[in-house]
Amino acid sequence: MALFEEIYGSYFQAVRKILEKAAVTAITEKDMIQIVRACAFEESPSSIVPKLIRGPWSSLLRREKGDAKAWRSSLSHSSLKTPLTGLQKAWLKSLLEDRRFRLFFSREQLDCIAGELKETEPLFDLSDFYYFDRYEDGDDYESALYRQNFQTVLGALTKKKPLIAAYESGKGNSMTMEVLPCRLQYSFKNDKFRLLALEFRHGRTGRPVTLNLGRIRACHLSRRLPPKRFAPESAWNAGRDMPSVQIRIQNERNALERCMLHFAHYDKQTSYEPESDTWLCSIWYDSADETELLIELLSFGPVLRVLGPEKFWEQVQNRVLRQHELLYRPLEDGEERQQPE
Amino acid sequence: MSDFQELIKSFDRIRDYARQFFLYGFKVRGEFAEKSTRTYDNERRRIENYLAPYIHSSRAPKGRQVSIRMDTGRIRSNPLYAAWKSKSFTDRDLLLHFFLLDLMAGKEAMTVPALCDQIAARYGEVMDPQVIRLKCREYERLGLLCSQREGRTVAYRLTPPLSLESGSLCGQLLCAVKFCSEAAPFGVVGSTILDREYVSNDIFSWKHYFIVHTLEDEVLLTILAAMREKRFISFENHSSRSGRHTTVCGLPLKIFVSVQTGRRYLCLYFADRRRFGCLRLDCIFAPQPLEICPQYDQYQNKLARNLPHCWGVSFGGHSRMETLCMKLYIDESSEAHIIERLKREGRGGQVEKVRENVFLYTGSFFDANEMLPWVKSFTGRILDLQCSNKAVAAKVTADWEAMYQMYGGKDGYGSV
Repeated sequence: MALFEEIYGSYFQAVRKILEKAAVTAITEKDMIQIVRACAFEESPSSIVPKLIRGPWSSLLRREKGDAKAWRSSLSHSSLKTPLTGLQKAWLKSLLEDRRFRLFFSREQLDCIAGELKETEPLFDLSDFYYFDRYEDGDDYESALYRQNFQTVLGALTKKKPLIAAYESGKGNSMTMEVLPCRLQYSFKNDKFRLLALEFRHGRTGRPVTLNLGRIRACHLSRRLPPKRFAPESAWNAGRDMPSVQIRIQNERNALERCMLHFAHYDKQTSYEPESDTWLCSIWYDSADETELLIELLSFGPVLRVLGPEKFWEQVQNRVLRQHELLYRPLEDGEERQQPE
Repeated sequence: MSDFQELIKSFDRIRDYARQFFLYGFKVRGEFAEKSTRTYDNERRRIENYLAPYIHSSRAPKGRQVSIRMDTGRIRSNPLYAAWKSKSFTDRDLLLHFFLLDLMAGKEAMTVPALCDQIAARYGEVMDPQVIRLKCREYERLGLLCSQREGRTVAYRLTPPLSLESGSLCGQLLCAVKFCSEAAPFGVVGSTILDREYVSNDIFSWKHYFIVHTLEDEVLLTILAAMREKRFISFENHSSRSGRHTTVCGLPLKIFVSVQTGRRYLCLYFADRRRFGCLRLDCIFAPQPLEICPQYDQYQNKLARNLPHCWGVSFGGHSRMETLCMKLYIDESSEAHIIERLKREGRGGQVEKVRENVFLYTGSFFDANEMLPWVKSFTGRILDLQCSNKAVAAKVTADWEAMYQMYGGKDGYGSV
């Protein structure tokens, strides 16, 4: 089995879409260009469309009678969907063991999927992977309450309906709130789902809120209608503050590579400064994650220097000064430094 | 560049460039020393085509630098999957693909001569029966076609769809695929399933998502196949630090994944050294399966016994385990979350209360050196740190001293 096959390619996908559309209506060159732009790459229209119209692929199309600028498919069928390949089935089979995949289905449904794929060997086994630094307090995917809440939240997202949730905050405060779900966020590090939503009071949207699925005690769909033209993704992103922090990376201890890998999931921009043989890097982050970024930066020690902004720099400075003070303070009466075995 | 083609024959061709542009983004043409400038220009142009919305380009003193920039918290699906969908093909491959799908949609099995006749009659293309036969066999291997034999005649038909594809389960399955196409290994396969249905993820977003892993998936697939068959493997290891290329042989046992540092490793048993070791997947090229190891399960069990003593990917030197003790100040009334952090991030280390607002973390692992980044993330709270490996304690203390000079010196904010 190979991942890199032309049948999964963007060119095949673009031609398929053109042929399917041209099977039901005559299409123009402009239509084809639009389809290719949506399905394939920047310069693909100039490769695909001429080949279809007048080149080696032109037997797939025929000119529309009476319209020299329109084409129809030469094929008899309007659906050119391929059967699932062995690779795709093997991948689905592997997922059956994934607790997160199982959240989407009832036991009976999982049995049905397993039955359909019984002849298929899995592509991988989850036990082949060892996630050594994933946090140990991930969501309890086996809990009946969690599974029920997950299904309800998923329903609210797919149906674009407001959700009423009884929620327990991190500090143990209970509250009930109505929210407009925007996205269900999964954190690979925390192994947790969070619902990104907007507060929804008396039919009006409010500030962005993040609800940990593991802390929802009960939830159900609201009867209220969401606002007209509600676009979940842009609504959530509009409410996010994305400041940046500037750092200098020293050319020692492989710091550049470690840093670039570690912060690869952030939007960042790096440039080399030959005079100092260092790299300057700006990292953009969600302000809600500032503390997380701060401790990540601290974990690099002195090979990485925070340059600004000032408030961020001060937070680093406070921790570093405090650490110095803690280490070099005199021991209190009776206090001993811990000795390892 | 009149012969420029967007598509490529081999994925390895694009793998390294995509990685460099995404991770670093500041290198200019002259710094890609291993390849010619023309190769660089072609690969850069390809990547610019595949990932147009994410490409940033700027002028640097040494030339133009290209970077792939994105906040993975805002993407719906991994943009690097585009590179997997760029395999080149011949004109005949494409024509035959659609002819076969069209002719076989009638669900009746067809022989190669019948296909040959129909292709000529319906679409006006004359094709060599041998070419059609090879394509049918290829599609049978891929699972798109199945064959039936009657005497010496072989007839092909499309593989029937699964019944769950048309039933009530279909919507739920696609929803799960939207999630797993990003969150599960080999997510690009899920992405091809979504393409097949013309749908894309509109429900999930991601945090701590290292999209660059997908570039190693072809190598990973070969390694996992060798693991399934309990085989030794050999491969080229391209060291990212020294740049040296070496050939490595070993017994592949497990894939170690770091969800914090963006790295994946292959854990192997090296029979000649009688040791376990981990090598980064992104440095592995051209893996080849070798002979079967009769004691494979024995080494798997041995590794399983060792895993609780690994902080990360190091199995340590020849010394015994290293113990690290860290005493921290944590205000119990307002910082209970820090105590929770110690427990969930401590990888099995013990956390105990020493007295009011003072907690002790104790952990024993093969290589305490690997713990230092985590230890330093508690900077500002550590009352005392001791380690059985004195060099480790000395290193972290020296780091704090250097940081004190960096942030506590007279220069203050604004010094660079």
